[in-house]
Amino acid sequence: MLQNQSVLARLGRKPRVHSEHDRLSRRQPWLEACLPAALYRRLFIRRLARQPLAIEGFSFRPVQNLFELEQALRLVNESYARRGIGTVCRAGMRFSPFHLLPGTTTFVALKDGRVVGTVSLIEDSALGLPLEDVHINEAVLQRLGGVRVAEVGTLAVCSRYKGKGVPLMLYNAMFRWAIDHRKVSTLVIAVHPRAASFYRNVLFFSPIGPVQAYTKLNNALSLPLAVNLARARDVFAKAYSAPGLKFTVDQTCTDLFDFFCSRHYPHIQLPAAQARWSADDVLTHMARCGTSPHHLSPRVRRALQLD
Amino acid sequence: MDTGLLRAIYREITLRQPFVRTPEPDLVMVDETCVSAYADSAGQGQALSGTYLYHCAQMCALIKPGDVVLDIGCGPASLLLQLARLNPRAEFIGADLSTSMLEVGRESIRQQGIDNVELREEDMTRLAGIADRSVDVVISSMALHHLADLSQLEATFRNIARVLRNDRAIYLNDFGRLKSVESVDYFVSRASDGADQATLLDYRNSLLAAFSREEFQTLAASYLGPCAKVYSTAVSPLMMVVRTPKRRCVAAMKDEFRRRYRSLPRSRQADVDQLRLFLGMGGMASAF
Repeated sequence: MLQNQSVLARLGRKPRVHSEHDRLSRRQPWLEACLPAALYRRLFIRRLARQPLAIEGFSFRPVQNLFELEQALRLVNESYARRGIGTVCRAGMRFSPFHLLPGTTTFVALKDGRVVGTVSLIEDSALGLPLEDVHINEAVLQRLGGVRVAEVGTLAVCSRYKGKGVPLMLYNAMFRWAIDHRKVSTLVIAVHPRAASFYRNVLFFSPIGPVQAYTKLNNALSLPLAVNLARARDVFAKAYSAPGLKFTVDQTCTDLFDFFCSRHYPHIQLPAAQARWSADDVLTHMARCGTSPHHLSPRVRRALQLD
Repeated sequence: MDTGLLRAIYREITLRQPFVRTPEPDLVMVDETCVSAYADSAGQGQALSGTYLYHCAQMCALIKPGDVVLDIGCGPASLLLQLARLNPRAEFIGADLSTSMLEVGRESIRQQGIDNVELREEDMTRLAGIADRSVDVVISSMALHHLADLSQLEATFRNIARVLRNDRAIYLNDFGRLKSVESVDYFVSRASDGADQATLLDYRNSLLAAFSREEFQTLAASYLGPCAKVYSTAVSPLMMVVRTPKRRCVAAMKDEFRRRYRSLPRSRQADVDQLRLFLGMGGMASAF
């Protein structure tokens, strides 16, 4: 890696990973950050209306087997490496105990049997939430509030399908799953400040703590946000009832409240129960990631029921 | 202001030497009534709840996610359990020599369903079960005065230095030795409302068995490195703290600590206020 970096430096290009500072922070979207929330929403929806969601032939659902989960994790690893917040590892995917817990649901966008997008809903468990590595105070305070907390994590979309609304459909599937099946009441997410205006203005997340450097993700800046799902429905209904905020999905006119909360899409398939990973699955997956149970801490082993 | 306090302050300022230390009558707390009285005194609104809240907030600023934290002389693990709930990513080890205390602690761990605390029977002067450089943070609350003499305190400090990793964090708090026994009696009488006889007697014995500030300073300087500073309450060292600089920002937790502070009874709030005021005058800023 060091050698590679020095070669890149000689070529006059800065290395993408292991840089001192977060590369994403260079481009500050100051204009976006200055926009009032209502105007941001209007512009966002105008962009959606101009370029309709291309969801023909896609299906969005929780993973059903280990093969799909591993495809999703490979996509995440690749996408993180491309964004400069991770390195490509030898196995092509990084072992994450959170993705194997019974409370975690990983959603995938499938096109022609291939995983082209993924997002995970990670419920609070004995291992806590992934963002606790950095935003520990915020996570503890949410938990002390006595509500069912879950984190939205590891969003990745295949570069060929960028800008086609895949994340929006994944979020749609995930919100429905979180509210109807898992009875989650608060969603938290750690995002780069550059992406925060979308979550704050369009999805009504609000910041719960200060921006910090995410050590595990190449010191990328990270802002913790949270949304109360019970209240979000009313807020959505109120904000998106205005006549100018319509766009088209699948040849039907809709607004974001209708899109997220009431209309049913055949592309989104939510099963009655999610996939459970047996001890064999876990061990197989660990072997493919190039790790083994004795590399894990006793607590992680207990949570994965490997002892 | 009552005249007792003025007299105590006068004595503490004018007397030259502290009184001679009397070790605790039972160096290991195994007596049933003693254990249950001590375990009860940490409960919600009980004698030690204010003090624990203050130190708990201070300790949180030292603990990062993923750390291994060792509590020396954890007793019934009341403080440890509070800390464990506020720092779910850290692993906690509680070490104590009293099996009956540990039993009380294990019972409350089971009741509260906490999975990141492990209690072990350890002699704090040896810490035989803890490997060298295996711990990130060492904490201790009101335990060191149980040691028999200065050589044992020295052995404890030496072992703390042994088990800590390079990026060391320490928070040890204990009573300090006052200059006259009358002052001890005065401070015990101040704590008398709401506390039972066993707790008061234990408090008095603790104050008589406390080490002096100079002893702490000498040992901390020789074993714990230049980062560990000794703070004590202003005027007289009723409470002493050995602490390294903060490792984490706990500004976001302030509201939670303040909420807990407001839920304490008035007399326990006064404990926190006094610690804040007198340790603040001694140079240590409050965490909330």
